[in-house]
Amino acid sequence: MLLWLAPLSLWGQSDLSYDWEATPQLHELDSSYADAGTVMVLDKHEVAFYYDIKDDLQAQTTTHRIIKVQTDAAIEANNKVYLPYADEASVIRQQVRVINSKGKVFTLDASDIREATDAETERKYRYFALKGMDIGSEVEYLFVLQSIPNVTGIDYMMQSYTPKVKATFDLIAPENLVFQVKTYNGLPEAVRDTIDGKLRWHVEAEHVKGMIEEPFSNPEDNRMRLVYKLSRNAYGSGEEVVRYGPVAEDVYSYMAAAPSKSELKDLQKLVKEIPFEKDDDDAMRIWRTEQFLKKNIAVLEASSDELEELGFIMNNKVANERGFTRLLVQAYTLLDIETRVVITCSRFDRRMDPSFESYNFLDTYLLYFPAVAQYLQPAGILFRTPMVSYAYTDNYGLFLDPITLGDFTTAMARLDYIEPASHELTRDDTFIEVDFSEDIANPKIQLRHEQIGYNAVVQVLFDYYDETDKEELRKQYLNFVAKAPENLKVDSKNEGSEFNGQAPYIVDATFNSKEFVDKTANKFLFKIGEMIGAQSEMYFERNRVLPVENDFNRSYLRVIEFDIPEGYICKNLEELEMDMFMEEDDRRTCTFTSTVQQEGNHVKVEIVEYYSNIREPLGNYAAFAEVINAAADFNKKVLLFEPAL
Amino acid sequence: MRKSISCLFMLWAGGGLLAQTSELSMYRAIYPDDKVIRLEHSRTINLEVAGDSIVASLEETTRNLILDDAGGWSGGGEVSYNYWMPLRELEAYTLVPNGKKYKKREVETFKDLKTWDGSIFAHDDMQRSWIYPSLVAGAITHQYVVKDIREPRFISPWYFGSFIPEITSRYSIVCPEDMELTIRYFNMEEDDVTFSKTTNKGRTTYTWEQQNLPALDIEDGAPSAPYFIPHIMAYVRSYTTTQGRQTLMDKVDDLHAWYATFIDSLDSSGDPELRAITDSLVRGKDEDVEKIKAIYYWVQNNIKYIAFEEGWGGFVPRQASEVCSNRYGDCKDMATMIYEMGKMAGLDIHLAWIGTRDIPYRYEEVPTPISDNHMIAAVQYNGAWTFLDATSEHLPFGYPSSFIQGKEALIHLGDGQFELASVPVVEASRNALREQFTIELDPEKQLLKGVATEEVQGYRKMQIGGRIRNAKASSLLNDLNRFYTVGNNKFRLESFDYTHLNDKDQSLLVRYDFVVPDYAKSIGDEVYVSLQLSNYFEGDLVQADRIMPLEREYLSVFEKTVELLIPEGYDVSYMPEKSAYQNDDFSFRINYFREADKVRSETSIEINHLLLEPGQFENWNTMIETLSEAYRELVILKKIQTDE
Repeated sequence: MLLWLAPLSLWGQSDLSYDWEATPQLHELDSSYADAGTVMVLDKHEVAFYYDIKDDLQAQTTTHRIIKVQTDAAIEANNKVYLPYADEASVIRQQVRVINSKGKVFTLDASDIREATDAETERKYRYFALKGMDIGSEVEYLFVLQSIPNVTGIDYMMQSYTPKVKATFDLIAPENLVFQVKTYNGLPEAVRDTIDGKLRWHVEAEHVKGMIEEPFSNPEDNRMRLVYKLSRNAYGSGEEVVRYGPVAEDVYSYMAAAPSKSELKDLQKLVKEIPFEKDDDDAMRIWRTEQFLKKNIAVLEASSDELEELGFIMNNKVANERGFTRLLVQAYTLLDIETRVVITCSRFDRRMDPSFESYNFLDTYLLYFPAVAQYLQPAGILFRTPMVSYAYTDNYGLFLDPITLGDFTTAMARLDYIEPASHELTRDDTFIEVDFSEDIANPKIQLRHEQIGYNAVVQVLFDYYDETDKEELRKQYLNFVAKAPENLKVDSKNEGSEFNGQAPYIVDATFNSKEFVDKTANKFLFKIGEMIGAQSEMYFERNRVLPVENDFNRSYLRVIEFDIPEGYICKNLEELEMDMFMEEDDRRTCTFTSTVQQEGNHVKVEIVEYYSNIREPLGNYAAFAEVINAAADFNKKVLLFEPAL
Repeated sequence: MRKSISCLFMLWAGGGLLAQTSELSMYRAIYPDDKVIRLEHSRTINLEVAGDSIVASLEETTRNLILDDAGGWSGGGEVSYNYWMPLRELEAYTLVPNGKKYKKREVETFKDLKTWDGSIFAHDDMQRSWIYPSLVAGAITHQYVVKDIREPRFISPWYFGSFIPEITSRYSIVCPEDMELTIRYFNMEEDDVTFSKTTNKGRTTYTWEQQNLPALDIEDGAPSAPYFIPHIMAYVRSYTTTQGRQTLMDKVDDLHAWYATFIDSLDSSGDPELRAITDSLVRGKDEDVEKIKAIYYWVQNNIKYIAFEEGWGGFVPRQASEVCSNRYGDCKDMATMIYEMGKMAGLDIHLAWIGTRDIPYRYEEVPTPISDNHMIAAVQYNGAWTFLDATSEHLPFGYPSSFIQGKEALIHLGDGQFELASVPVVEASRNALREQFTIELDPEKQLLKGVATEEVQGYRKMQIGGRIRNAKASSLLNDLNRFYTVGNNKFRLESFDYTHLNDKDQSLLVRYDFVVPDYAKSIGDEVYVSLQLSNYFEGDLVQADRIMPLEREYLSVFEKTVELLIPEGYDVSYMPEKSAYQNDDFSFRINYFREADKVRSETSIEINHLLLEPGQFENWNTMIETLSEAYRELVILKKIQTDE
């Protein structure tokens, strides 16, 4: 399979001379690590490629870690170790030991190591419990695994959520195989040299901080990491090995290949069942096709040839992502709607690097419809056009552009940016009327809540939930606003995927609630700010590390109307006026604006809030936090109703 | 509703030749909100006597009807098995509607995987899973499983009902005519189920059947399923072999005799490390209580919990010497360590089996392994038992772990000797949270400044202590801000100190300074301020349609005093009335006091039940409403008018 990588003659062999210290010594850490429960004193990772006796390329991965535990919690987090390994991997060496705080060494026997497979990911694990650990212990393990080499693009994360004193990465290859190693997020560049006639790329970082999780951030994309791939074989043609061009041709030839006669018959029958209507425009036809096929075909996370065969898929109503994407492409082709296959990855794993062609970025399929400039996510059962999971937007993608040469059609690879959906497509609007006329302390409240876009994913959930869960979904927003509603009536509209992308999800509720009014002596305090539900806040985030990243763009409109109770006056209405925003080229990128209008006793408060930039640099963090906090500040607004004199 | 369902069902059953499309539409009409229903769930336990022992196996059939095409999303099947119940046979297929008949499509690919359970490190539970083909509306999935039952004491109960509606639920036991079974009904009466007993050629068949069971909905906060799901437990009391009559599980004595074999070879009395540690712990201590406490705390602090439940490893403890060297173990390993060390120290100490609160049975009612799942040590001094569970690292000596409160321990006293002893429920006052706030107000800035002291005990200390332990010294204020927030979310911790976090015999004492911007409301010459700061249980109503009891982890008391120093130039113009609610299971009171330069509120809430039963829901809601109303009452401060 990898013969094309074979050298002219020589075969090499793996280097097994690396070993841990025969007599281990405990490490002293400087005071900057005092606060960390777990510290990785050493994290060495080496991938060595070599030719075996049959001239086949092999890979050998060496992992050597020394982990110091400084708290009871750290012992508990580290005394059970789970090491994933690839299916085909064979274990050449596995050594595990604990050096306790007194220097006593406990070495694990091979019989202490168990194996299992994770049911969800189907990854194999070796796992073991570590003996003799106490505070101050160091755990050390050295694993050497042999595996089928992957040279088409591999990520390696140098930074993890545990601080590291020293982290190294080495890639060793026969002299003919020239790799490319690219580093990100401040990780020093790879240094290339030669050892024992082999090529080596070495990356080293010291005092790597533990990554942290912060609100409105994307820690994974910010981790110090690298990606490597084989660039060219000096003994071969010398051309780039890992290119998107052949991928585009290959994927296109599968997706667009003409169906067999019987497949075509089944497909025509299937497409005939789609309930199109006369006036449907392109966008509507795209939507109806997607909705019909997603409702009728189950898309599984499984790799199997039959789940990618059109005939099998249509007969058994089940496909995997790749197979379902082909079914969609074929259905749209039959309907004469132009589609383009796009391949990308989740930006929450890490973003695609448009300047580095590498197959690790090719994780998932999208379809793009040039006529309406919309995307569709085949495996996204919760999403309907024009929305796809936001993880695949604000990222680059590989677009397969069809090109016809004579009577042969293939596809060219093109990299392009996948725009995130605008804030106007994701709305969360609330209209509230508060009626104090019967009981000021226990007003009657009418609330309408409307959601579209990413907020309306709930519509699709209605397809899958049972009655109890549906009831909970309907009350979800209400519970967010009111803890103890009385005389509650809830009515909801547009439940089910058939409304997603077509009509907002609407909940109408009427109820009484005492929780918004405090009564004291002969006055009432109307806690109007609490009527928008507890808002997220970043009041006390100190020492922000990561730049801002939102999941998706979004907007909120809240309108609250009420009559000041008869016989009472309200003197502090103007306190509700707020205007907090960020600007870029005279355009507001995010805003929280609250305005008040009063006519006689009638008061109308209108709050406009939106966020239209997915990312903000770290330098803009404070300004962004101010807008976020503005909503939480509004929560504290209180109006005083006092008897009119 | 129940009646109309069975009427419809009868109609259909009598119809016989009705096409399956009408079967589908009938069930759709009965279950409009369900995607899939279970037509049949049946199990037969086969028991035979071979030689001296019982050979047991289980056959189980599950047939589901897909009501909706989207049912395909749940198109997976799975069966679990392990050392005790190896899988002997499995068949799975889909019956796909095909005109008036069905086409059978076999499942061809199965996957065997070890299941992951975060709480158990090493076990042998396996899962075989597959995907059913062609799950269109009207399709029927069929699963048939045969498992061996290696140990007849492990025959599990039969539950009537599932998370989807069940049309037929049937449980059978087939055994030799002279085998004696004990049959018990839980959460149901004998009459609720169709029962038959027939004997043919020396084999007796017992069958229990129920029909048209609605889907089970387990409400949040409910105790574990065996507390309310109707179920049957049938187990072998005695049987006959060539050697004569054998008793398997009749009395607690039988269970104890069997359990005793798991521990009779435990002996670490010669282990030098264990001996040295024990000696160093008890040296200079005269009182038994001091000795056992030192041993208990050492095991808690030094042995980490890692559960091993592979085969017999789920029942037989490791030698204490090995656990000591490894520095890890599961419940029975830790119990064994405490026991061996206690013996070395000359204490009256014993091993004990116990069921956690998830298990509703008492040993005398069900003297089988179903009644327990845990091991502890029990020590006797001054004529009373103290229960020692080292699996909870921060549990104070003298407290049982919260999940065995009120349960019954089977204490091993020696060969053929045991005692059943009740584990006490820890009284509310030993799990108290007592807070004392002294606050000052800046009326102009609406800013609150305060200092708080807090005393925390028992199970509550374990909870709160965990938060403090998880906070980093370098970012203590940041990490704890959220947990201590009172007033509103602009709350900011300015300082934070604590003592006795790791001294298990003492209450945790916390002291912190804080500010809360935008807390009070100043309008005109008045300031409106709540003297509650934190509103425990506000709005915590039980839903009107709730059916199941609500489970609490432990009984507890909250006490809070808030003292506001009256700002200079102000006087109190309004102070709320007192408020209270009293009941044996729960109560609260709030009082306000005016002193020279202060106004003070005193609040206390007592939760005095482990299970809030449905009969108390209305009273509970009354208390919560009264309490919530009291929380909304404000103090008004008014500027003192001065002549200028």
